[in-house]
Amino acid sequence: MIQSKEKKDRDTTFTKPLFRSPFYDFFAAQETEGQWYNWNGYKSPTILSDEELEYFSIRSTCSVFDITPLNKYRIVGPQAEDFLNKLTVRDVTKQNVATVKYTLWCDQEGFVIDDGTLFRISDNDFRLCSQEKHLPWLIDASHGFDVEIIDETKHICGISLQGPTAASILRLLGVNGIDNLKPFHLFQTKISNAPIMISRTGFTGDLGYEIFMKNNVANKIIERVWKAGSNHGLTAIGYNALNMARIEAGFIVANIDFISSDHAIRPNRCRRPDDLGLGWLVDLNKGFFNGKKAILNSKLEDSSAFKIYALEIDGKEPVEGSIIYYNKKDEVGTVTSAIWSPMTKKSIALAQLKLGSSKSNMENLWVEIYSLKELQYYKLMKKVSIVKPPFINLARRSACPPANY
Amino acid sequence: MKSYDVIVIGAGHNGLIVASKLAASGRRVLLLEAGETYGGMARSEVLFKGFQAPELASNAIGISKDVVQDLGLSKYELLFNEDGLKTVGLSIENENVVFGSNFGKSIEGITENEFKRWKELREKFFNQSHLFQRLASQIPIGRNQKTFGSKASLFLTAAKLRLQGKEQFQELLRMITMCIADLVEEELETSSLKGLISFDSTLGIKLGPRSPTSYLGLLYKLSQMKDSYQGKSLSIQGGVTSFINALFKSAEENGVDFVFKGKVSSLIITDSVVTGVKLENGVEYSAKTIVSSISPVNTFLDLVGPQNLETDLTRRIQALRYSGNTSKLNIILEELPKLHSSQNLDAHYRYVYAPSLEAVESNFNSLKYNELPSDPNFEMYFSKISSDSSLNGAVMASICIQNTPYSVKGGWKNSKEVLMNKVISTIQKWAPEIKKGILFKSLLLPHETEKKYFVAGGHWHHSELQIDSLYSLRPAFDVSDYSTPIDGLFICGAGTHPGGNLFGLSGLNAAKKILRESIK
Repeated sequence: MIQSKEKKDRDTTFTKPLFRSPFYDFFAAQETEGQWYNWNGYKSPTILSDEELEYFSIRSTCSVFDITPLNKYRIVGPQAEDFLNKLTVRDVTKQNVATVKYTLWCDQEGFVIDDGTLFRISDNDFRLCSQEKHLPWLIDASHGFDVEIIDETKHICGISLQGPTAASILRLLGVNGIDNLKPFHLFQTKISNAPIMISRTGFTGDLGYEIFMKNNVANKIIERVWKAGSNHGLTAIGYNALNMARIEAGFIVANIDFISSDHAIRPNRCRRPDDLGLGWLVDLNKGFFNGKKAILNSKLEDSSAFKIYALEIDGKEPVEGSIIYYNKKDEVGTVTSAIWSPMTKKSIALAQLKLGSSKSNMENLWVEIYSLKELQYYKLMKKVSIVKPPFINLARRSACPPANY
Repeated sequence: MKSYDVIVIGAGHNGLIVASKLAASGRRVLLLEAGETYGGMARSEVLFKGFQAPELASNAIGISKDVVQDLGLSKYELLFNEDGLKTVGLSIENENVVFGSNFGKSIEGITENEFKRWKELREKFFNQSHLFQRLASQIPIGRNQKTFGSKASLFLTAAKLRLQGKEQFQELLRMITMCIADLVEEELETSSLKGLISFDSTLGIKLGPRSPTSYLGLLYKLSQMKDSYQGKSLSIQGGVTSFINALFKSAEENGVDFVFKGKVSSLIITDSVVTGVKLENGVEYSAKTIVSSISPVNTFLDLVGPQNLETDLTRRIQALRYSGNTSKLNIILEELPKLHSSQNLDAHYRYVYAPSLEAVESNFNSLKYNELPSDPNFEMYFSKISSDSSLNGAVMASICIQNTPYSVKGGWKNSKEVLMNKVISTIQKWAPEIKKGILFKSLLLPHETEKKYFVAGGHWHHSELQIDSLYSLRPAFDVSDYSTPIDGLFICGAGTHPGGNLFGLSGLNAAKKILRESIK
């Protein structure tokens, strides 16, 4: 009996050493033509059935995605606010209870270690979710503060419901309060007597919710959600579909669009918030926080660093990993994420470019594409234009109350 | 709130040096000391029946000649061991080795052949100590210290070493990270001589003679010996007190204000700029420049506080190895103890009990595992108590016990007495009647030093003096040039370059840096 339980949580053989989330069985059952990958030590789907159909469920019906592998840190204690104010770049004193904020944290050079979402559950109780693991950093940063830091990644699981019918599905589940829940707000409730935390957040730029719960109620909740979504086009999705949606929304991912400063080996790979286009998050008026001095100093210098830009590219060839040129001859950077966007009907990309401050450099940019057509490469030079992210702006994302589709 | 130009925290020798030097430049300086008097870990304490002596630092290899010249200390009475200090390597069964002054310029008790080899080895040691000697008075290249001058002086140091010749340079590179055990075993055979050199290389640092880089400990000591004022060590009879008193007088004459029992509880910092200090009794003082001579651990983690510090730096400071590994036993005896018939006790000698290299190494093994050494090694001085006290004719034995763990398995409650008795019974083998004459004895363990002298870990040097914590890495790369990320806050204690013993260059270098920077 014990043996079988262990087997379910984690494969004990060396051939399959990945963890399985409590939702694994559910997602595995949805798989027809599946591909899986290792996300933070968990066996997670890249594609379950069809990448495009999965993507369109985000934009036209509703998708369910397993976010259990996200790193989740609980930060509790009388000085939790002070601690997070020192750790992160935003002013945590201004964050109300029951809200979620997107934030960053930096090292002493002002280089970004990672980004993440900070959930304020109560005055002295926070949850920080991030792509990378940071427990040693959080513990070291908490020295001298009366806080407790708990890595609850393995104890708390979560799903993300994203798409226009997400609110309707939750209404069907009898979740009260969905109508009043504004973007970046959260509340605690119950589905079938199982306690959950719902926040109106997501990584798609669409209407959507994230639901966190304890592992032991995972099966019950996912069954109820799946049943409630049966008439609302609820589709289980893998990472590829989510990735398309997040590029359209203009969201960046650590170690894909920028290198986390504690991963970077080469010194010029580190990025400051301004370089990531996230300078607006940094509150220089608050007291001391990690990286403040360096960020202030960097504003005095004429920055010649790489910065992240949102690009639109002529044509419809995929440009992922391509090199960008100024005037078709001087290399200025590389594409970090790219798709052909079904929403905008354009080829879009996020790229890190070193353009300097001169306005004229922003024009006359070209991308070099090697397009493979039946075993032959065609080298193309396509015009690139810099645009302001996000690539899409959906009214339903922030509509309150959300419409009942 | 009273305002000064400079506030110095901690009246140890480095604090006194900084205060005196900055006051001499015309600044109004306040020196804050948590204890009741000046001197830090070298201060005099009433030990027994009104008798005062330094409880901890009762001797010193020497004091920097730069400090003496810069502050004009030669006009005060400084006491030195005029004839040099000889060391007796105690050997209970065999004849003792008498190690001549200047680190064994002459040695009694070994064969002529061995002495010849020793002479060559000693010369090599002194030659190589030149590296430290040159670096000691430089402000280390660091995060904020990358000037042409500092790079040039580092380059010149390297060039000078290279100019000693290819062979010598190669020999330096070969030896510098070696353990002292391999070096002495290559050349020497007398067991207590090897024990003595091993002991001297590792006393006060957490390394055994077989640990890689333990040779550096010796180089460091020799460089101080070579660079000390008049090349002499401070006298066993009151030398340390004479130095501390001279520093105090110099500071006083330069107009430094003193506040004793003024323990600083925190620094007043707004937006990474320090503007003053707050004492535990609530009094505040303001100054644009604050110099902390206390341990970097206390300075950054207690006074500045992690809420004002980058996590990177808190991390590095927390990672310092700063738990003390030496304890101090003071015994007051009715008179100089009588020895076995064949031996004479001379109060001018330093006695070291480290019978062999293996003994020192096995002591260190105990330290590693937080155990009491089974046969502790120690050094011992006898100083006569002056005749005008009620203890006329009495003698104080100051004993440094090597490899005393900061925390011991099973707790110190029972072990303290055990350690004390182990040392005394070793002495008893050599001086059989010692127990009868004991008027007073007290043992100060590292954790007790920590509490009494307000130094984190109770470490002599504030943090380990090892290859990864010297020069630019002392106490950490970000703060190795005496300045800190907090504008206006400087550090100058033993935890900074070059640190160590009563040498005083940490304080002097920091003072020079502050004077130079405000000229700019």
